[in-house]
Amino acid sequence: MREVAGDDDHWVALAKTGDTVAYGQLALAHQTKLYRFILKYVKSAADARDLTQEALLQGYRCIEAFKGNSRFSTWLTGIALNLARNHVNRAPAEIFVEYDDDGQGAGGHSKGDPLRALQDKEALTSLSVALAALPADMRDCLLLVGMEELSYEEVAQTLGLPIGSVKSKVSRARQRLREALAGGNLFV
Amino acid sequence: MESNTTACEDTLLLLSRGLDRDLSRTETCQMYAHVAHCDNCRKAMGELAEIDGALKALHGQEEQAALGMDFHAEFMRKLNLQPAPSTEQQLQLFGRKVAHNETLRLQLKEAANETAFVTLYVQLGHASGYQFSAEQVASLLGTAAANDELSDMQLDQVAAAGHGFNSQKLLDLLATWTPR
Repeated sequence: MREVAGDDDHWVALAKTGDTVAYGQLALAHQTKLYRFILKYVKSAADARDLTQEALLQGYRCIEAFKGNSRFSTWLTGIALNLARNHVNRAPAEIFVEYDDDGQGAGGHSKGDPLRALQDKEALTSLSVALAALPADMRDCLLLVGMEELSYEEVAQTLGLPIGSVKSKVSRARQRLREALAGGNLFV
Repeated sequence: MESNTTACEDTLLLLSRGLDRDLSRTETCQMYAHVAHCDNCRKAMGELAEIDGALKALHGQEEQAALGMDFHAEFMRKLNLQPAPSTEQQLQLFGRKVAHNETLRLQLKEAANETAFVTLYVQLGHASGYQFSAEQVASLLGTAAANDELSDMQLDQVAAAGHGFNSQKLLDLLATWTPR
């Protein structure tokens, strides 16, 4: 079965009539993106899979609450973020895992250079640690904007924050990462 | 790495927003104008871009992750195990289905009177897999009629036109009603 976003509005309208087949189509269209998002918080693939199932089920149970003011995928991401946060709070040790690349490293600097590859691996491990050390609200804003490529407005809706706050938190998150990584291997 | 000037603080925010393509042309020019003569901010620009790239590299593995073929089937099993809605909720859900289904609406508009409408509504609901009773539908419509705010003049107009029964009005009520 191919995952195609298609006409979410149509499926949402039918899902609101209790049509589980319609909601199944929505789930199929968004499940992989949701899973990849949750994996950024929860490094265990098994846990991420379970949380993805739970996020989709919560979306079905709460579909009345979706008013169409945002994309359906953004709304689901908000549910997933909440579940991932709760999971991380219960098991904080899981939010950071040493980076293990395939030799490419950050920006491909390490191609053919084992020392550089090691430095890149260390740099990305440091970045992972620094990211995990950010306040949760800053980290969430940064990941949603920088990785999930949601607009500031979508992040503001998802997190219930003013747009200005989102912009400020993303900027401050990036500054904190700069400060944490100063003197390390990331900046050549 | 602290910014010593307001201009630098403003520029750091612009640099961040620039990475997210959130700058107007004027803001972009303002940012570059400052960076041109500020070593600290020029350095910050490079480092922020490095961090942006590194974040994408860090999460590159997640972006390639795939769910197994059985994920969707497992999810649908769980979805179909969700508690069945109450008959009241099913009445509400069918009302919404009718609102989105031209065929059902046309069939219901053929009803000659309220009794026939209710009977047909229940039949069509059951045929679509919803469970509710004629008494529930009649009770809902009776309650709605009692709360109706038609003026005496409007009631006289309806009676004079010979249209004591208005199927569209009933459909609208059933589509928008919510269980208490």
